[in-house]
Amino acid sequence: MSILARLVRVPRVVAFVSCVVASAFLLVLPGSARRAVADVVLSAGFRPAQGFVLSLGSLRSLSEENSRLRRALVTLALENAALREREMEAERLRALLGFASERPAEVVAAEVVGMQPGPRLHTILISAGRSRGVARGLAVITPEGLVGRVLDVYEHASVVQLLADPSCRASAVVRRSRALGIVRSIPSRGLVLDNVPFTEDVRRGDTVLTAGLGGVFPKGVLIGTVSEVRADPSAMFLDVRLSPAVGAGRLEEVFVLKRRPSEPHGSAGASADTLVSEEQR
Amino acid sequence: MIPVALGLVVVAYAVAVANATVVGPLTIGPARPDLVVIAAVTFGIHMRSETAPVLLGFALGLVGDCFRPSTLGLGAALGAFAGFVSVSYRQRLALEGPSVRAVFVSVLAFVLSVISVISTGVGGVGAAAWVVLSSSSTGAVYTGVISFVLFLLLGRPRYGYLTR
Repeated sequence: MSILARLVRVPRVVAFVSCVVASAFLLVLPGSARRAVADVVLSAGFRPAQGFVLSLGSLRSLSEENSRLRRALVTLALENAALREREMEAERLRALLGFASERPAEVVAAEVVGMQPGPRLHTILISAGRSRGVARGLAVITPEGLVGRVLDVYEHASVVQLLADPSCRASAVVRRSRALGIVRSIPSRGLVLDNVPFTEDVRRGDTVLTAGLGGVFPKGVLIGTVSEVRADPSAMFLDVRLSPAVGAGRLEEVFVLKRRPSEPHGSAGASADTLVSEEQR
Repeated sequence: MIPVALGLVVVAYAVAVANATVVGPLTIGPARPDLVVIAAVTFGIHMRSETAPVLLGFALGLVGDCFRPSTLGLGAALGAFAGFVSVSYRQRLALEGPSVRAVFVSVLAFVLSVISVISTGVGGVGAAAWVVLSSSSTGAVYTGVISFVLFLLLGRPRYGYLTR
């Protein structure tokens, strides 16, 4: 009897070969079909259970968080009133100078219902999808700062690519010195601010915000703080490392920033905020 | 037969949910446990069926792939491989203590993580080497520790394949 005939009689070999064939079939599917399969798997009873398990974990801290939020609400209400005054003043000045008006973007609140299993956390699953107006490429934030952008959208869920993904880049600016750069994640170094000329003034503890140059992320969202700056005289750029404002591993709720209807999709300078799509890899 | 199959589906479902929910809070630095390997090897050692652990690994890997549709199928194949390897060596593993089984899980988790890193690419050879040295190795050790505790709790396998 040939080796092949003998192997066919071993159930585990048959099961394994079948699984490999199925996997190969899935890998060669076109991108839209792969997303459809993922949508079915995640939506068919899996997502609600994930949400339930994650909410169980947050129940304990609910009371404490409630009182903290009440305190924050009072502070923010006062701050909001002051900011409204300044906004009105700024609007008047903008009108005098003939600048276009800046309106805040609409947000969609969503719960984190899943995290990418495996050795590295690069994507999370959130509970808002196409049905709530979420689209690919929209920015995702928390009150603490930038989380990432929407990578794939399903009917009632979306996959969010985190800033920790090495293929994710965001144009950024140092708040104090207005030095511009590109934030990206390098596996061996963590979050870094690239392309900052060594002549720029960047110090440890500086706050880094999105620059809003790429049309993906809005301007002024907190990315992180500078944790280390190295200036090599022989190099053209500074080596700037950042501590991210958002700890992706413990996210519970996020907000998707919906693009303003008047804003053109992918405006000028689209190369600054580059998030390599799955098909481009 | 039906209750066993139903139990398997329920457990697989629970592991799949846990793998995409509790893994985040369980992360310590770069180390993340690989629950797919733990589940596949545990089922491989403790179940009579030869095919169920393979299918379980495939299903769990597929759920993980849904978080990154560009590589849909890769995690499923690796999960099936974990189930297949554990079934292939289960007679030997069942006779060994929990520490040997945990080392087996740890090595398997490391190998699968390296394959995953190489297949998906993380931005060059240097970056891939760093990921392997940091998250793959520490994750494998972490996975081994968790599986050791699990094997201690579960004790020696009692199913009939050992005495067949």
